[in-house]
Amino acid sequence: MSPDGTPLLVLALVAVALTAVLIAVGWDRGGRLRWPLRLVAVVAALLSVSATVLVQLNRMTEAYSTDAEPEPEAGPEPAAEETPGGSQLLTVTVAGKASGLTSTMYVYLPAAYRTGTQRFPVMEALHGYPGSPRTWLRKLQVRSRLDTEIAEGRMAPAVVLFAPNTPRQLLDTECTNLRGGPQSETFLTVDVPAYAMAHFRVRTDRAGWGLIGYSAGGYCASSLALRHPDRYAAAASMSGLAGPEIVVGDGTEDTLHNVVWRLEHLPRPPVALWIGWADDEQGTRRDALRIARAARPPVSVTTAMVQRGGHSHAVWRQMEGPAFDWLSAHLARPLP
Amino acid sequence: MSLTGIPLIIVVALSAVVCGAATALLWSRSGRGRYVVRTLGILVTEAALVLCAGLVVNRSQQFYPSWAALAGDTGTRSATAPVRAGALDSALAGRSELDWHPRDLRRWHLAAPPKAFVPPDYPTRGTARFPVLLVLGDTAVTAPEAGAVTVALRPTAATTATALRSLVADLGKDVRVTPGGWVMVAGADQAALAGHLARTSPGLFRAIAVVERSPVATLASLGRTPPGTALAIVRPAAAPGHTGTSAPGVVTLTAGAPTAWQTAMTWTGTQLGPALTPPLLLPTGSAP
Repeated sequence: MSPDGTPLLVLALVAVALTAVLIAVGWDRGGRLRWPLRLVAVVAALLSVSATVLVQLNRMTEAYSTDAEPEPEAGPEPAAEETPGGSQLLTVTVAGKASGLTSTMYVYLPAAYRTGTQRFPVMEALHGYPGSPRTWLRKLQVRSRLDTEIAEGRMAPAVVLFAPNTPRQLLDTECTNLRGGPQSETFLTVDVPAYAMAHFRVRTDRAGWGLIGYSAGGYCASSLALRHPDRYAAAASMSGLAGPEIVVGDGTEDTLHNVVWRLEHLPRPPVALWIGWADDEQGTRRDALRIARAARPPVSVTTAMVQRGGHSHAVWRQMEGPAFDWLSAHLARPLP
Repeated sequence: MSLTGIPLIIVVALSAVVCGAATALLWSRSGRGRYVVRTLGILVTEAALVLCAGLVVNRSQQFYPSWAALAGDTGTRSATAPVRAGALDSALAGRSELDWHPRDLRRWHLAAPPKAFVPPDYPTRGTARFPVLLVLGDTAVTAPEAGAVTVALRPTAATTATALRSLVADLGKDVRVTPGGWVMVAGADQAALAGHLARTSPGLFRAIAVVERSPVATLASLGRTPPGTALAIVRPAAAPGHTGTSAPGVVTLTAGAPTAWQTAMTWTGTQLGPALTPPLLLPTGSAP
């Protein structure tokens, strides 16, 4: 049973109903053990309600799932989901030498990848917290969005990598190298590119590499682009803040890991940023405007706004098409 | 009542209290129906408590700031700007090459009218815009770069960079071109012109290659280029004892006279942006 499936939610709801019935019917029974039994029943009821809430939250964020978990990479052919003649979605395992992290990654290969010998531009797509690469696929329907944008010619065919920001679902790394913890920044900016370059026909120059993300992943995209301008030419942040809002461990949360601080205090690299927000979400709106104000050439900032929707999947479904189109236009084309 | 307002939270919290109290009150007073009353009372109270907690979290985190947001309504539509046909589109319907006579041609003092080439898919992809390969110098361009509009100019000593500034806008009117992702190839004598053009259109040119005559030439005549512009120098032969004379980040290519220009164009071709139809756009918001 998958942790994000309907059966588990139904099971949890049944447990809630059963514990309620148990209390209602058993309250007056039990003789001398009446009070301990009542206590057990009430605790069971609380647990069942909590479990239901957690299951539903997981369904909303797609943080945990057993679906499409990869087999350990057996052969050269990774597990693939196929559409005849269309795009492909692969599940691969990246064993990161530089970071020491090993994680599952989804790889979108455009339809054009099947034929010819082109080397494609690459976009690393980063998820929010809590969340997982699956959130892109299940909640943001990213695959059909990419298929559409490419088919309409608004986006050049690109390889899109959906890598996890964190090796542990309950640990928010904000794509940083946590002191004494997972080296997610190294994983995302060294190991994932190395894997992609070794296994797929992709461009290897910075002009062909970009980042995109929503929520925490949006912060990750803009921050990683500014921190690694030798590897990425452009980044799109959907509802991302300017800072990590976690403790990185080396006291650089508000400086080296803050997008606005970097723009104001460090030499600015030639990086193009796309910053999108929902106008009814105050935090990201405030930070987006601060980033836009702090940017000076050669950093360019393109802003985009949806009227309302808060911090929700509906907002990012609305934003991802424009963001992918923009990103494609700011990367180099597929190499013949 | 606002989804994130205090009143709604109070109402839901009060209903939890009332439901809980009513359940307790009716716990042993409902006769034969007491099991049903108890069960329903517990379930409704639990639901109200969960709802209340959800509202408090949502108020602080602003996941759904309004009922409309909760319903998935963003109140916004992304749209694509209509593509403006190039003034020369009809002239380019049956041919891939023409002599270009823009409005400001006389002020540019060129040796001959520029040659404009469009790729084979230009007429069929009627809504697509193409990046531009701009060639400045004495060379015979015979074929377009795939996926790009190629414009070849022969500047003279009288050609000034100031006058050439109008080229970008003029080309945008006559041919469907992208607003970025262009590249440039220039001869040794046109390098200063190329550098000036790149400086006056920051963000437009991704890459510049200069075809030099001397094996020890540098890109000095290009001047400062906008950061992020990829640079290459094509020399006729590897300079003996001059390895590493190029500035850091400059690609050094070696090709003699017959292939030097083609080498430069091939390299800039790798730096071009894609040909694209107009993107989906959202409002830009109130950013400066």
